[in-house]
Amino acid sequence: MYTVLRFLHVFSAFAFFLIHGATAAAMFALKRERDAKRVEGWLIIRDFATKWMGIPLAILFISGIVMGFMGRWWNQTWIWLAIGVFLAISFAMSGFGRPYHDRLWHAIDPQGHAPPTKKEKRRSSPATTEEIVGLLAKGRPMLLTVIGIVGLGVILWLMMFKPF
Amino acid sequence: MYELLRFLHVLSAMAYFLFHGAVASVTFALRREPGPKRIDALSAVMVFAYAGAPIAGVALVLTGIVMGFMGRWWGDRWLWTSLGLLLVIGILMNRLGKPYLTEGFVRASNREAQTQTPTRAGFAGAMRKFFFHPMFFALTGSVGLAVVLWLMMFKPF
Repeated sequence: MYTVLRFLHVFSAFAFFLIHGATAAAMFALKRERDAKRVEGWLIIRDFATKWMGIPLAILFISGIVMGFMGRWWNQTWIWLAIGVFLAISFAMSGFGRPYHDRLWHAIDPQGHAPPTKKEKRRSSPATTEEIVGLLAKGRPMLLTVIGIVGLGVILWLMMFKPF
Repeated sequence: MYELLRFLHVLSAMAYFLFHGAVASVTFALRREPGPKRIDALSAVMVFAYAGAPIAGVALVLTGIVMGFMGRWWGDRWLWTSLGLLLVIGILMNRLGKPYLTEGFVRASNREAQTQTPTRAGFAGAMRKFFFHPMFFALTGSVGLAVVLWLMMFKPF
């Protein structure tokens, strides 16, 4: 049973990265984009991938929790550290990534998409090209990639080597 | 050393899927995203994916080969079965996926082509509809990955 769960855990991790690849590609490409229609195309790809990412993430998380009980890992430091790193990555990703995309959506299509925070005023008309270019420049794909890859490396190392 | 290679093997597999995911999203998006502007965006995704996937793929294969020697797995059938399966998936994706993407890009960026119906009558048409579908690629890849992963983790024979 434990091995089956481990199989599910690894498989769902692969599936998660497969889907997450689309959002990573969109983040990098948006930084270079200057055309509103193309920006919209990227945001559609990003939304499509985000919609499906939750399924493998849920399987990954549930199988990990159950394995923690089966393997009696919950009193070990590595598992809590891995969860902490995972949460830190998630907060960083959603903290930098989500408002950026929501702000872009709102700038392109103010009728269909709300601003990312309640403090921000709702636009009555789509943003100008200059405004969109200004928003695009605020993206930090490299920072998110470094956070994601280093974090993934650390989590993987903790899970595979169980050092403490 | 073996454990370190295993770590690198899994890490490169995850990186490979991250890049390959970009291609997978394009195969689905092509069906719904006509228009030259959006097609440009999809083409740029492909460039991103093709830039990174081969590096991760080479790291994955190399670590796998070295581990095969270190673990003395080359005499085991599970390793050859998984390699064979990977080859079959690779050929299928290449032979069917590439024409699908090429045709998809041509149709999506060409207004005249969008109005023409690409369907063929009879058995050939049905086969084309089945194999030239992003869900076919997604299922082939996912089921193939699951079997390869099962072979590597359980080493059943």
